[in-house]
Amino acid sequence: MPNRRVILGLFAGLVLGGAISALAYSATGGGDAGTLDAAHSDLSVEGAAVFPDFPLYAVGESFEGLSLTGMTRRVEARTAPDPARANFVGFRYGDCTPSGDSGCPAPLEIQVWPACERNFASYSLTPAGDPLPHERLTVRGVPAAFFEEGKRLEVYTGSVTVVLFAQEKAQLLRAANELRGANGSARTGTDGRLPAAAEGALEGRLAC
Amino acid sequence: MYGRLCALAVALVGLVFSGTATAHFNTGQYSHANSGCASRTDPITVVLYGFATASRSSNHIKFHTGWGGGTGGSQYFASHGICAPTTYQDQSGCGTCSRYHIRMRKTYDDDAAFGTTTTGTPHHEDWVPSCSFGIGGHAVDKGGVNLGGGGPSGFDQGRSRIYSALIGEPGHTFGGDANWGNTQEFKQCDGDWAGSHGSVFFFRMPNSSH
Repeated sequence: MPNRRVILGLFAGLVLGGAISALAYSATGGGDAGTLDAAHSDLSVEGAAVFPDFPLYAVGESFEGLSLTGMTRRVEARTAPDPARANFVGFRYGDCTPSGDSGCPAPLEIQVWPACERNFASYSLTPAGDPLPHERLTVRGVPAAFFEEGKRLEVYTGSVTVVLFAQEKAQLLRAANELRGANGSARTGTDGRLPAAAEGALEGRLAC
Repeated sequence: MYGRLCALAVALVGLVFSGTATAHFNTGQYSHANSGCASRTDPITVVLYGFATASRSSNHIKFHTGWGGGTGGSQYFASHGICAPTTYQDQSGCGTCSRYHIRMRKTYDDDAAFGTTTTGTPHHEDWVPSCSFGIGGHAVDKGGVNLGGGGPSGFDQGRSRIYSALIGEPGHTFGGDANWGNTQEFKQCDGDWAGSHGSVFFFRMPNSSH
């Protein structure tokens, strides 16, 4: 009988734990207006405005009820044999609650990378060169592409690649239509068009 | 009548074999917290191929790293339209230790060129006692800021650790890398954000275990 109680207790704990876990993760999907988490940001809004290395694009201090909650600056030294490295500025909109050991994504994240390090020609599914599944389109007059089954949109403008992550294609397109300069070197035309991709940027021929 | 039946039989056989012949490498780019595979949590950064069942992959990773069987929570992997749970985990330290950790699952179907493939999400994570309302939990290391000042992210460290364990080992050809651009960042239980830099390493698994 005591064994039965232990088993029932464990089962109840598992059910309750699962419910709490599901609830915690559901906050991710719903998003959260949130506030700027300075303790977990590498840049401030003012710092981004004077960021000198490449043009930055974001959607301002809020988007569809999602506040700008954090900014990332990752730039790492290259380490052999890896040809890639992180070099981007990220803007996170909304918040989420991790569950246990599982992390969670912001409802909307925008990363800006130098096009000489990340561009349409960077990708392949395998080392043999099989293409990474994608869908090409034009956004605000410049080349763009969906990846990750429509949960990632890349916009190729000027000397940068703007990478947007969200749950839905429609939201990604709406965010792309709201992109505006976040520092002094970013430009947008009066007709809403973004600057044309730099010569050779899409083909991976742009030098850093 | 007989001719028509033969033609039908040939067509059916053709259909069956064309299904096999067109099987191809297919995978999501992240693991997921829940069974619908719509709740991303870790980026995939290694693909094991050749004879890479998840069991054999785990056997070789344990042998070449010295890691033990894993104790982390299960996650889910998508491939060929199927969402299914982690089948093997390996780790370098205890369940309440800072450690390397990998979750793996074989893709649903094989590939004509790459054979049997298993995807994995290796990472380095710290044990943070204050996580989960004081119960404690693991947080993947955030990425470096300002040219290596903070070192690579825990996901980039995990990929490198698998590389250093397998490179040069008999039967484990390094197949090269592919850039998937799966760089979305994930909030950890300590409030930091961690992501991969987007490249994926391919390693061959031999047709034998240790």
